[in-house]
Amino acid sequence: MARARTRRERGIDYWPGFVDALSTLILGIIFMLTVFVVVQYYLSQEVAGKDTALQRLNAQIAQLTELKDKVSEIYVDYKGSVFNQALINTLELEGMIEIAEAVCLSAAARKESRGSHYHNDHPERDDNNFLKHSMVYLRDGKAVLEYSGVTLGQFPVKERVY
Amino acid sequence: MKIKVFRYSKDSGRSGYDTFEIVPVPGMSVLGALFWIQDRQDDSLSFRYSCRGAVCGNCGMLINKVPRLACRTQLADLTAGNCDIDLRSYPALKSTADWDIKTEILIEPLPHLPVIKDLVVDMDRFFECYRTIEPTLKPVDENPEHERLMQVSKVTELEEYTNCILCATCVGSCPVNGKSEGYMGPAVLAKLYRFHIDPREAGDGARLLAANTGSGWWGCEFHTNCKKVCPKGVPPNQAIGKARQELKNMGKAPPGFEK
Repeated sequence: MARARTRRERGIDYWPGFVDALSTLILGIIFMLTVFVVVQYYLSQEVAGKDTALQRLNAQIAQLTELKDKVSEIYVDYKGSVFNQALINTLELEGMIEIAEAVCLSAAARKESRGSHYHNDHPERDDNNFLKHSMVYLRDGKAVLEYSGVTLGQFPVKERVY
Repeated sequence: MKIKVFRYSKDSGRSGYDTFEIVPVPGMSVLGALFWIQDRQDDSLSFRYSCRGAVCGNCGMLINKVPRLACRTQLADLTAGNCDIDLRSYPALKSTADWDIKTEILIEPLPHLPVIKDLVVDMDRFFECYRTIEPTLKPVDENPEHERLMQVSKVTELEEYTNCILCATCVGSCPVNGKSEGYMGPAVLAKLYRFHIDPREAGDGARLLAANTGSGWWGCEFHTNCKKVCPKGVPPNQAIGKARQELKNMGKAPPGFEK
């Protein structure tokens, strides 16, 4: 018994230090893991958000096509010849749907942000690719997107920042 | 809630009143109620509107026997009696319809202007008269080198009249407009006075002389209905009074009006 006690007193007891170092290491790893998880969460959200913006726009274009079919079936009951707002509203609705389609089509293709047009994927203005007018034409009943040049004035074009 | 609306159609020749039962929502204006009727009950109903915010002056009509903008008049205010205006009476305010003020809101076209359809009136006479006063700035110096600066006090004075949105509710409220078709009316005279006091114009009295007749400044009988109904707080009666005084001071008042 006495021999055993003396050996324990003399030997270096490195266990507490080892446990200390190990727990610190584990803590460090857990911290790193947490950071990774948080970053991954935000990153995935960002990427998914970008997808939904474009998806939403495409869904809207599909919806408009559906509406267009429905509008063609509208029947105006009232036949008055003076200030017939039932007729005016119907004609305006037809126009609005066509304009909405033109707006969605050109917005989906314009991969930049400019003025009131804001694109989640591309928050920057891109003069190299998109310094041009979006022109939508109705050809054989289908909306077709084309572009036309911009007549520049005496002032250099630049991003408007406030 | 019941809304009683004047109807007229040239096609059918019918002239009378229709009563609609509407379900009001909080914050609903008279214009909102008209949209509600047009959307759900009768799409043959016609009325003028544009901005929906008391800026364009399109939706002037006679609401509960007071000329108002439909977009600026809340249904709740009408039923609660919060916006009653005591007007000097004239023939158009006399009861033409069987109308219960407690349960119904009565909507009629603006008086003193020909009705085209339902609540839509012919504004041509009003705007033709407006054109005759040349309602554009006629500056003394044609091409100044710098912008024309004005005193703040002058601008404030002008603003009282430039706030006019030409909705013609004052014309619909003016007893004189009701009895004499040739009378220029409150809005036009207020606008004419606004150019007279504009410091950028010559201020030689030419603007005052442009309406120095019995159908101009001197036609007014100061019922002050115009100021009471104006949705923008313009006081045409004040402009007319000042113009008359200035003409008298110039010794230019027409015979019979010198005093």
